[in-house]
Amino acid sequence: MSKEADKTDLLQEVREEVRGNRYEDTGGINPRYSMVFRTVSYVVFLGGVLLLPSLVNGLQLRLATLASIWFVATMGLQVLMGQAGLVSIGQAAFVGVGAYTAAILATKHGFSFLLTIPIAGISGVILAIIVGFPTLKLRGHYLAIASIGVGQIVLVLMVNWRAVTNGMDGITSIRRPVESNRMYFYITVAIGLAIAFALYSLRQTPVGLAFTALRTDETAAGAMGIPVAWHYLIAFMISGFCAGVAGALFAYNEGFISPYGFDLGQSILLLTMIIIGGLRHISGALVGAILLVFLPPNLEFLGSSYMLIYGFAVLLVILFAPDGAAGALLKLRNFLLRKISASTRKVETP
Amino acid sequence: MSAENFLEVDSIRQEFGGLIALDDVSFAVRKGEIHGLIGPNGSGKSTLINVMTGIYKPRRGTVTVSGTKLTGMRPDQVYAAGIARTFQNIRIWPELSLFDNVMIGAYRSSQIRPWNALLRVRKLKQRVNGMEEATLDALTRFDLDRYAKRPAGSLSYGQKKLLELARAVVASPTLLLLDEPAAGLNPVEVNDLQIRLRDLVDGGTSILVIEHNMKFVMGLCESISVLNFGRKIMTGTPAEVQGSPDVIEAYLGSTSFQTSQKS
Amino acid sequence: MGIDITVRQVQDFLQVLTNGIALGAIYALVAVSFILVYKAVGIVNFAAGEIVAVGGYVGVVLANIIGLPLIISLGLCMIVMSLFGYGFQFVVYRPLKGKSFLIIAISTLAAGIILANGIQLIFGPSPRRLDPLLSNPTVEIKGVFISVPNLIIIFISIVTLLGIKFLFAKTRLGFQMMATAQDPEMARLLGINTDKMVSITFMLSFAIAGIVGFLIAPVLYLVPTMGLGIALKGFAAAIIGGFGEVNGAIAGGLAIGVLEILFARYISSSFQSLLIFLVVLGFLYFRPEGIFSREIGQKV
Repeated sequence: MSKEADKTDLLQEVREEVRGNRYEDTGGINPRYSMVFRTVSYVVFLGGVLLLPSLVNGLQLRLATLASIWFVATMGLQVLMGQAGLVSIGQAAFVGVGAYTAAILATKHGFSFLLTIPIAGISGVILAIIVGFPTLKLRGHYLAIASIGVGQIVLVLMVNWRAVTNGMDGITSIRRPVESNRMYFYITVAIGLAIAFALYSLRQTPVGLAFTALRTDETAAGAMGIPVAWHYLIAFMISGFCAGVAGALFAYNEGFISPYGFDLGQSILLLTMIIIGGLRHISGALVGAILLVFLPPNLEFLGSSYMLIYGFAVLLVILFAPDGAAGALLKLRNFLLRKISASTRKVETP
Repeated sequence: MSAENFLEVDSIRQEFGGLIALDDVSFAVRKGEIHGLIGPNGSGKSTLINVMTGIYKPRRGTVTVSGTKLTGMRPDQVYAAGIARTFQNIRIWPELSLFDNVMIGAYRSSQIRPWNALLRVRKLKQRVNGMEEATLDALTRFDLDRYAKRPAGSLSYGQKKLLELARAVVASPTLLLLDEPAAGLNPVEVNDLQIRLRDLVDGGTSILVIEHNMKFVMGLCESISVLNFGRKIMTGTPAEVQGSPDVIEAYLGSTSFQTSQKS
Repeated sequence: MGIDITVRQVQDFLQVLTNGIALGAIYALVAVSFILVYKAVGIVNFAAGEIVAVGGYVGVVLANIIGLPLIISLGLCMIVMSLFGYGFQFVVYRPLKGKSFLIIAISTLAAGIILANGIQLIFGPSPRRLDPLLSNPTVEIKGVFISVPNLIIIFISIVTLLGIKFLFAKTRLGFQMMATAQDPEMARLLGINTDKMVSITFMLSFAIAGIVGFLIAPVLYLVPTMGLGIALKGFAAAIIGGFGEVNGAIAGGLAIGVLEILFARYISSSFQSLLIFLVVLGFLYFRPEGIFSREIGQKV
């Protein structure tokens, strides 16, 4: 009888600690403190988002809106690259497909914003299935190569399939659901946070564990019952969905789209965001998007070669700090919480 | 072959770029039996396990377990059919906790998948609880429960081997394929392993074990198949195998047979 | 339908075909260049196109800016590029041993970005071209006009590919390189200096990339961002050829070059890269093992 009770206790204890430690090292931290810290930071973040439009000028608000749009696209890359361990160098193509889908549905067929956003996401999913289905049954590098190809193909179609895309002239007068920049900023943030919440919840389920397993040892994962190719494909579909939604948000935000915004340079920018922001954490997508949207004005001394800096930054981060900026921030937070936990523990039990 | 055979390996042939790794290998294992698979290095033992678990597609031949054909299945489908394995060179996730390592083995039967994980929260909770209970049970069975929270990479070699076993049994497989489970263990650990494997068989699991440690194999297995250069030389009881001139000849040149017998 | 074909059309077709073969030879060399590294160390080098671009710009510096004779420039270009290859491995191969595919892929991609933008910083974004062959002379064979640069491309490609074949089929060095690529541990046991073989492989791969850059410099304009398009065709050739087979890569490169040029001439020049991609996708769906089917066994 007591043995049963012991087992339940042990299970409870192990479960709490293992779950808490799965994606970051929370050892030695009083759970109450981390709860308090979490609550405070959420309140501060939401307060900041609500107040931001009143505090900054029009250009900065525009950049903030862009950051939250790229946050959505980059979250997809976090699932694909950070969780499943695959590489895509064509994320902008998926953003582009979402943008054109939304733009065409909105301008030519009068679809409402609430309909076009999910449809744009699904368009990204469909593209992911077309590309991912044959490649993911093979090996990782096939997807990376195919993703560059997809980027090129989508661009060719955008430029040359004039009947649908209107070629280089692009699609104009895409009308936003709300007039005010402030409201549209709130909408993009709300969609971004909703997707972040869903992805975060998914990672907390055993699905996150399955992704970790196949990222670190594909053969062992398959031998332990994880359908490898299916899970890769799903990670790719999630990535495509996020990109498609981001594309739709982008199209509405700009009011005008042309092939220019969806080339390889944009794909590399999104990839840079997640690497520098931090592959291992969903928050890395947010940190990366904010950093890279607000950084470029300071790099103008390099002229059109500013990507040189990105190249070096990506190389250095991936080699020496693969957890990126978000990883560093979380480590700092955990370090401080650990210190506080240790000092208060001493006071309580002398 | 008789109807009571549980596992049937039927004329499996495998080639790698012209090199014949398995040459029409056939044998059978009865339900609840420990069957040994021995042979000199490079005789195709691990290749056979890789064929059985869907990692390699054989050129020819079939593997069936209680009537279900395994050949043609993907590795994860083989696992779902109740066949679990360990690896010759330990393959655990060193950065994950022991608990997570074993829990991964329970993923398949939990029915949790990316497309349903967020839909029914209560059901998800039940399933996760089920996974976690099975995980702790498996760890307890191999006396690893006290280390459950530690990263698997911090374990000793022998403990890692036990962890692989715990992971393999978490989904209660009907057949275990063990690739050199005793290699690198000290005599005490080998004895301990023997007892644990017998215990599993008493619980109804069938086991196919590859091993170089002859004392271990002879003491544990009810029947043994011998491979040499990808070909099966014989199947028989430990006594028959030890007395067979063919087997002794196969091991001549490689001293492993005699030295392992002494150890 | 076929009855109306005129002599002029046949001549035109043959001209177009030679262009396709020349382009295909280029793609084949690109594919071979990066397959050598892939086979030797298992790295898919996403900077492969940028390395060709570097080769082209090195050629421009040697032949145009310094003004050396073409043949000497080509030789020097290969030497410079093989030294570059020797150095490259210390940045994106040796520190990455045992790292995951993702980390290696991102590193080579970053190296490509750095190279492309480095070129742009030095040479500016405007197109460059190797001057000496600008006059674009042609020879006439029975009414078929064939451009001399194309003939040179085809000739040098054949020489290079034969050289590689000879290296791996007949020489001790080639055998040692192959042994290292197939099973490094076994090669080490046989007393082969595997580190040296990897270095030589990198140098050979980069020297071939240098040849490609030098060959295309008079025909295509060099721009800093040209790498991607070239790499993509090289990758496509490799996939069609079965990813890792030198013969397959040559066949794949020729197929793509000819297909691309014929499609552009007779069907549509806007959608030619669409065609290549569909062909590659078709191979991935139906024949992932490439043109020359062969079972690929992976080690577990």
